[in-house]
Amino acid sequence: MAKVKLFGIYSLEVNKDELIIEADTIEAILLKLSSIEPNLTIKRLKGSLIFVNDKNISELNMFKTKVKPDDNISILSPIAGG
Amino acid sequence: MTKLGGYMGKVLIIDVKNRTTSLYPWTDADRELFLGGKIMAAKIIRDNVSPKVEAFDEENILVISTGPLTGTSAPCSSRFNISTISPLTGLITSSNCGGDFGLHLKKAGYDALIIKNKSESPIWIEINEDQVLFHDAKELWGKRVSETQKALDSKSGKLVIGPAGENLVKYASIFSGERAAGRGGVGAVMGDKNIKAITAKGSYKPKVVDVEGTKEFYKKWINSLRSHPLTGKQLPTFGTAGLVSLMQYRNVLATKNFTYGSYPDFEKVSGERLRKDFLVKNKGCITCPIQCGRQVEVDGRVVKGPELETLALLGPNILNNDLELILRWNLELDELGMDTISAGGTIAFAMELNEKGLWKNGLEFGKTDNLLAIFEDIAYRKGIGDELAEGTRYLSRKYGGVEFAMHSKGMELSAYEPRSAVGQGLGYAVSNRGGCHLNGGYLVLMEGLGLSIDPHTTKSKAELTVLTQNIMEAVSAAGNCLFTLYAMLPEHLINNPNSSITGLTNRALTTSLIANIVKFIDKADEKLLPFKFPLIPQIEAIELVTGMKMSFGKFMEIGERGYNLERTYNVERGIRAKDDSLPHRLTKVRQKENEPNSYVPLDELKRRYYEVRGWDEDGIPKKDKLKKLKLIE
Repeated sequence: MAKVKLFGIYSLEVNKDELIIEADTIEAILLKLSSIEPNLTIKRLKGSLIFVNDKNISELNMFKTKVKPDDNISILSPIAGG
Repeated sequence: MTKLGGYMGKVLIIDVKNRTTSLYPWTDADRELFLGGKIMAAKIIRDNVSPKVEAFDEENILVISTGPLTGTSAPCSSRFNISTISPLTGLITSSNCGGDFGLHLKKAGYDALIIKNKSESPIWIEINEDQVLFHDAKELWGKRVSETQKALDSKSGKLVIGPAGENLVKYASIFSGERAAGRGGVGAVMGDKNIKAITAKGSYKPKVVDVEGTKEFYKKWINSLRSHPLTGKQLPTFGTAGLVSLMQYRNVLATKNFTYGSYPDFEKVSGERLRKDFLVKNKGCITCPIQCGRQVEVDGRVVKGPELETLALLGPNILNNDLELILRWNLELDELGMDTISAGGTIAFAMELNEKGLWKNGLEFGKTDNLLAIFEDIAYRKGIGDELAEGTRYLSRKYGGVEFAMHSKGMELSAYEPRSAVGQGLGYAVSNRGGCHLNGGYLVLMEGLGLSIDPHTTKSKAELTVLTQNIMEAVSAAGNCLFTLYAMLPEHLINNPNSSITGLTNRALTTSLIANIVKFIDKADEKLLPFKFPLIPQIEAIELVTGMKMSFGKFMEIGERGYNLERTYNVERGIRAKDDSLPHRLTKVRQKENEPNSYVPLDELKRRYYEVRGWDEDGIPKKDKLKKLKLIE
């Protein structure tokens, strides 16, 4: 059961900042998340910054990145500037 | 006088010692070369203030200047600039503010004010078109910022200092409404001149050359700002505070005096939390469709909420996870009239000095119960507050710890830990006003906060820094907000950080092709770049408002001229390559032990930067560069 944390606009839209999801890849986590929260479409979620235990999935295996039960997944909406 | 639109055509000199006024000769030729705002101010300072003059000498001047877009209906154009010799850095400083003073100054009929000499006793100045009155400020002296504002005419634009400015705190600010010209200690210079406040009002309006054209153009510009994911969604929803979470994941969130780039308790001080638990409403500058400002409730009062810099530097950087305290401190620092960035940075440094036994001062990381009183002690220069009021560089010279004193040229660094954004590190080091993220080019935006170019590579970082510094210089001089530039980042790249096009763009930006394009823009005569560039709407707006021909080439050259002008003046004041520095912790100590590139390779970056800038190896602009920029004959 991976812990999925939502940041930025996403947490606001679904009015929660943390979910527990059981799945073994990032792709599967996004699919499940999207079915729980239909506002968060797969297209939007794939356009997010996604980190597995603080590591960007672009440095791992993108959406095919394997997820272990105790991993922390962080999903951030597009953001910039200050 | 002027034939151009946008400008009022008059620059007012106020001599506060002799209580006289006169007009400064500033021609349309000057406007074409120096545009306005900080570049205009730099030209006036260089021409009138000897490099030997120090911040608190009578010969120092305060230049308060607007740009051609200030006070027009252009989006995000409620900006004005204050420049002077900084008591914090000893160099020229510029501080930009979103309050409404600039707009009122134009209504009074002036593009800029030059404040000369020192008054013998505290005064406040009332500008009402041609009438300038000098009032005794005995009753106002000692008052906090909002109290002072309330005591003045509610219909005027007001510039005000708090107790910190009166007591010459080296990082005291000047306020217009709730907005601060925060950095560089401009408030201390105003205090040193014995000026508590300046008000301006009038009924003039800047003339716009192409009224219909601007209406149509602004409509498109506002729509593009409203529809962009950053300026239309992210900034209005979370303000700058929304960056805390991403900075955490990008390892650029200054933590424990820049020992780390991330903070385990970041969610307790994040923009998401600020919105959820404290936001009352958004509030932005006049004419701004972005409305990034936060209004929060503190002790029953609805007040300005903290910006990202304040959150980070009074949060993770001092190991404080209590957001409510930060809101209270933010209010207190504003009321006392001092810069939250330098105050936070100085406190963090003092905490580390104490931790290392170099200065026993009672300040400890994570210990927050004594800080409210300390801020007041700084403003009134009581106890250790008297030394904290001098800033980080002073403390490091007295007590040691130079290798972890987080400043550049005397100005405390802002909240971005640069070992995971080395281009931002270069920017901090070469910035004309010292350790400032914006004057440094804000490359962290490309190194993780908007795009994702390799944050550790040195490739193209010098070129991109020069490019962004020049653009920001010109936008600022136009009287426009730098946040409009976020809309420059194509929406597709922001909305699709994982797409192959975004990946390709990120890689392309660090190739020699991009470096060569930037070099070409920098070296080319403006006539070779005669087109408008839609991603920088200010170019078109300036032409429509003023009637002066404006192209991408001319706009970029104005920015480059501004940057080189401030640099040249700083060189005349003794600045050389050795001063473009960062503390040892950032250039020699890895941020993460297992990541060999996690430090700022500053010497390499600087060498390249000087080359691209057309400066010699000691950081001095070469004659042919200054000639090209019409800064020398």
